[in-house]
Amino acid sequence: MELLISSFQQVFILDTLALIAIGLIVGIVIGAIPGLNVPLAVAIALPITFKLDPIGGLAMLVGIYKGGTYGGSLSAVLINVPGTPAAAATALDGAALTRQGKAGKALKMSLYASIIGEIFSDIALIVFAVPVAIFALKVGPPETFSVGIFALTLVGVLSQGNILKGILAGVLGLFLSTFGVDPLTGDFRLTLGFQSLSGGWSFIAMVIGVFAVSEALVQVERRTIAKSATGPVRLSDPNHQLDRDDWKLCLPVIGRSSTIGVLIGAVPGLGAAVSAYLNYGITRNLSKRPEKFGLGAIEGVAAAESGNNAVTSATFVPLLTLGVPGDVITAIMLGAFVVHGLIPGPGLFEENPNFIAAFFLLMVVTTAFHLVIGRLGMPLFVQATRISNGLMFPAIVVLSVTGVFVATNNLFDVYAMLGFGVLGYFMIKLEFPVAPLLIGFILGPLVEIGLRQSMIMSRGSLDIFVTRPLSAAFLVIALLTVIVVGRREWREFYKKE
Amino acid sequence: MSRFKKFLGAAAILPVALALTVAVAKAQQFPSKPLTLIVTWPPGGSTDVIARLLAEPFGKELGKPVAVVNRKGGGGSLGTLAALNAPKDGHTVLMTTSGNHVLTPLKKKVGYRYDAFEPIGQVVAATLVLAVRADSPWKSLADFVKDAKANPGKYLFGAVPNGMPHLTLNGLAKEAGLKIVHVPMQGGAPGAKALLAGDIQMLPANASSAASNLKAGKFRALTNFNANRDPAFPNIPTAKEQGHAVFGNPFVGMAIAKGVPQNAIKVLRAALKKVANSSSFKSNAVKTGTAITYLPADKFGAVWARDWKNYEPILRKK
Repeated sequence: MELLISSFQQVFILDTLALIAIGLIVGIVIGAIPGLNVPLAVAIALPITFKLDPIGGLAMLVGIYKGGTYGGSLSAVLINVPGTPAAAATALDGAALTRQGKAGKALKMSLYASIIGEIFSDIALIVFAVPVAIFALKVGPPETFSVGIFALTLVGVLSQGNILKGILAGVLGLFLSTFGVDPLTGDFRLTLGFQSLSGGWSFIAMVIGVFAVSEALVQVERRTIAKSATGPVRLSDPNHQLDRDDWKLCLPVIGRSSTIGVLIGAVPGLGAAVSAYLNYGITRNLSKRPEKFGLGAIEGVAAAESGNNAVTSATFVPLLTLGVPGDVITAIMLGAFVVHGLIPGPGLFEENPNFIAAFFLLMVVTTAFHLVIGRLGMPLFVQATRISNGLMFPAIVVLSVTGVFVATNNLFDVYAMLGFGVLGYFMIKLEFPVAPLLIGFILGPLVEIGLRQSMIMSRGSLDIFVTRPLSAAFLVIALLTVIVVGRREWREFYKKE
Repeated sequence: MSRFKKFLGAAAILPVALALTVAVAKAQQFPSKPLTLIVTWPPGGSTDVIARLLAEPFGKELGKPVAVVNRKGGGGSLGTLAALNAPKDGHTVLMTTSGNHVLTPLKKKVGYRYDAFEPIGQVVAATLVLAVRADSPWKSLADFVKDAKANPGKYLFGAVPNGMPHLTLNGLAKEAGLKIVHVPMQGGAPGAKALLAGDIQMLPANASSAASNLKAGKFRALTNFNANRDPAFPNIPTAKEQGHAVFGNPFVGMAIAKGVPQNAIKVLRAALKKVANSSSFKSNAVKTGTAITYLPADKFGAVWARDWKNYEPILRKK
């Protein structure tokens, strides 16, 4: 009880509440702008928080984190350019809905799904931190490998009708992920003599290139000025409303995706983008109407968005229980704890229960604020559909170039982004799906490191993947996915013939 | 040459001469603009936190703000090169570490050596410990050595490939005649997770990054690899005390490219000395789990040369 009172005293003060709001607004804006990403925003805000009290500082960072993870979906839905890598799965159906004049519907679902995902995640952090952490510890190198293999089988699902082209794009993604430093020996490989490639291809440059720059090139070629909406857009229009059927369809999806998202968030090294894709793929696999996916299936938006935002509190589970940050962003936030002498880990609960209680309350309050700010901003965001492509795409390209440069401080990555733009352009022209390219790029290192570490642990025996139960389970699911999807694809192929 | 041409020549030289005078005047009152402190590792890491803690008082001392910029990648070489190629006016300073300064240039062709830089001063000499899980049967270094000798190739340790912890544990294995297996890790955090999960049996790690699990009793440190015990962890004996003269001390300090005017270097050295010895900075650093071990420029330079000589035979041959 005392803890509750003291945590209220720390969180419900004007400064802290204002910092949460500022963090959320900054996060949503940065998340929505292609090129500027959440880790960057958190890193820039980090030194500011050194001067604030710990809860105030974390209030701002958590706000940026949650707002930014959601903000990426705005541009994904409205202009088909994911603001963050984790929102790329949202673009598949969200942008399709916008093209049908149902942007408000997609935006609302993405906000509410995000919020429900966050609520699941908050509960997991506060109530189930210990069992969730035990699960996370069970995911060692063999399990990472098997999860990666399972996720790769979903490439077929994300191929939007052409499984062969999807697999090719996925393989290209895997190949591109091998550039840079060999993760196991530390040696350079495939750097082609470029010093700047020694860190590998920049993921931000790739995402922005294949989504934003390529789209701009396509628009240039069309030479027509178009906009999705002509008059002022009102969210109260029936086209922008979520009806009972939508909710009936989406609620179970959100529940499942949020649960999976929480578990993914708790395992260090997986992250929001993996969760979004995995949940999108699983939802499509289990759906009764898989053919609607990619053409404006509202449950696709729900799966991707609840999946990526459910990660946001869960990544603090390993940080607070094991002292190990759950993703890149919590790794940066670790600095905000440490600089105040708060060393996250099992000891913190005993040493500083006041702080932990206040931090938990902060998470919940941020989720509530996120709902309010997101909903208030929506009538404004949706007007973006009124901007013509003639204005929109030059602006996006300028933002992308500056964003990538700011993010990496390296001009090479800007050129790489333009190169990926050309690649994306040809992929669009030749009707190659882009999602598998990204998923291959994200999963490549997971699978490689998982495989090679496991091989060292088992002294070269492959048994390790089936004798560890969790790893075996993932491999079985992967096999089932291949069989089920393979059958379905074969039938569709047969029908066409 | 006509008079007119002479006049033109003189007129052309005049602005150059003026610019030179201004440049000299500027150099005399260093620093003349905000400074950049390059960190070669990602934001939020231990080097980054120290750099950011340092930036503010350092800037106050110099009278100009200091901006921390993260240039990660290539084992720290990208940031190091950026500092090396910056204008030699003293306004770009490198937060340098053993990794980017000694180990990376020995391992890979990156286009610089440790002596491309002038030392400004050491800020931290980190303590490396050998951590095991609390339920491990090993209570001391001797227990571990005995067990590992009896079971060659049985025990696994996790470390970033060819980082200081990896090389130091290799050093111990060589000195004591052990065969232990290295599982490459992508950083300190995944290593800590692997040890907690029992996927590996030991973890050579920075004491500050293992601190939370050490304090909570989840890890036990068998030894540290310092010359002396670390005041932050007085109960951890050194390897030398336990009969194995194996050392590993990753450093963090400030460096600047050779060719920068001496007066600027002098100003930077004096400012770092003052800040690193100030009690407020020291206590802030201790709160983050890092003890400040300041060394003046000449001694810091000697550390570079020593480490270069020590690690060259190990890393070069590959």
